[in-house]
Amino acid sequence: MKKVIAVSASVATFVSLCSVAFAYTNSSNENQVEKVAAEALVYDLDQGSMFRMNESNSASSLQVHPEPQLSNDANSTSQGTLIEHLNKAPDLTKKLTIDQAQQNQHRQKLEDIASQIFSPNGKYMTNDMNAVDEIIQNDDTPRAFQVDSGIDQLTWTSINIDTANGTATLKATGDSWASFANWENDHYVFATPHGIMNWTVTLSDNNGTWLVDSIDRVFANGYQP
Amino acid sequence: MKKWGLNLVLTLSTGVVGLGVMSPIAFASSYNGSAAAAYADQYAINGNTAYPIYSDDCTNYVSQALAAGGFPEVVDYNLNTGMPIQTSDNRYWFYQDGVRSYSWSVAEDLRLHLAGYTSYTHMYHYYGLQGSGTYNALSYGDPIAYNWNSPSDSCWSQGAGTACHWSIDTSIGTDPKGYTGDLADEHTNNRYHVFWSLEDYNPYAATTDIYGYHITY
Repeated sequence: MKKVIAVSASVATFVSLCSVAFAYTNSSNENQVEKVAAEALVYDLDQGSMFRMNESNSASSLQVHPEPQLSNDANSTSQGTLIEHLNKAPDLTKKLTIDQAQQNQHRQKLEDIASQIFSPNGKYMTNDMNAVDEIIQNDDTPRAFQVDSGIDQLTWTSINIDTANGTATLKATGDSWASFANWENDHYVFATPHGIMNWTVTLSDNNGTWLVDSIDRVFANGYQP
Repeated sequence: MKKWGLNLVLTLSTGVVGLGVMSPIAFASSYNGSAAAAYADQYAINGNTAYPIYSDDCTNYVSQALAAGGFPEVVDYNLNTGMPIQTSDNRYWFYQDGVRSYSWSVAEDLRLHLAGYTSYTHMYHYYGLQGSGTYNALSYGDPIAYNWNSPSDSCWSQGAGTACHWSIDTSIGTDPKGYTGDLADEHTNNRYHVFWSLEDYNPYAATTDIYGYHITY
C-alpha cells in the first residue's frame, strides 16, 4: 500500500509540474502573440509616417500609447491641432523638403521592421508590402504627409492560441489616430483623424517565433471615414 | 475636363442577359452630373425613404444619385413574368419595384459594373494623402471609390482597385474641418460636403487607394 501511495505521490508531483509548465508555456505564448500582434497593428498605421518609422529602431519601438489629446468625438470639427510624440519632429514653420536619404531610410525601416513582425509568406507580407513603393513615392510630396500616428486604448477581446498547429487568432478594439500636415498657401494646416477599429490578427509559429500572418481591420460603426 | 456643361449625346444601350432575360433597349441622353449632385446633396444627411436604407448604405446612396443623373439602368427581367429579378451578375445595375442588383448596393459590385460593363466611365487613381487645396479630375456627380487597404481582404479584396466605400463628388469649397477643394457627399456615416479624399476623417489615409470614376457620356 505504501508503494502505491509513493507512486501516486510521484504521479501527483509529475502532473503538478506539468501543469505549472503548461501554464507557464500558455502564458508565455499569450504574451508573445499579444506583443507581436500589437506591434503589427501599430506598424500598419505608422508605416505611413516617414518620421515615426525613421525614429524606430526595431519592432519593439512600435508601442501602443495612451493618447488623451484625442477628441472624444471622432467627427469633431476641431481638428486644427497636431498630435505628435516624435523625438525629432519636423520643423513645420516652413514648407518641408524631403531628401532621397530620408526616403531610402524610410524604405529600409519598413522592410527591416516588417521582417521582425510579419511571416514571410503570410497575407500581410504578400499584399501590403506591395504598397511600400507607393508609400515611399508619397514621401516625395511633402505638401501633405503623415507626421505621426498611434493606437490609443488597445484592448484584446479574444485570444485563441492553437499550440498544436502553431496558429493563433486575436481580436482587438482600439482607437487609431494619425496626424497629417498639409501645406496650404503659406503655412501648414493640420488634421488628426481617429476612429475606433476592430481588428482580427492571425499569427503562426515560425520555428519558435510567433509572427503575424494577416491583419483584418474594420472601422467600428459610426467611425467609417 | 473639369466640371463640364451638359453634352447631348444619344447612346443606344442594350444589355444581353443569361437565364432567358432580356433587358430593354434604352435610348439614353447624356448623364446629368449636376442632377446627380443635387440629389446627393438633398439626401446626404437624411436618406430618401423611397428606397431601403441599409446599415452600410454608401453604395445604395451613390447608386440613387447616379440614377437621378440618368446613368442607364440595366435590368434583369424574368422572361416569363416580366418582373425584375435580383441578381449578382454585375452586367446589371438597377433598382425597380423593390428589387435590386447586387451592383446597386454592394461596393465592389458597383465598381465591377462601372469598370467592366460600361463604356461610360474613365477611372482616375489616387493614393494616400492628397492635401487640402487639391482638386481631382472629376466632375460633379462622379462617384468615388475608396479602398482602405486592410491587407487581409476585409472588403472582399480581389486585388488592386477593390472598392470598400463610395462617395460622390458634388461641389467645390471648404469642408467642416477646414479642408478646401473638391467636396463629396457620402452615406454610412452620413456626411455633406466633406473633402473628397476623406483624409481628414481617415487615420489610414496615407495608405488608402482612391478611384474616381468620371462619367463620360
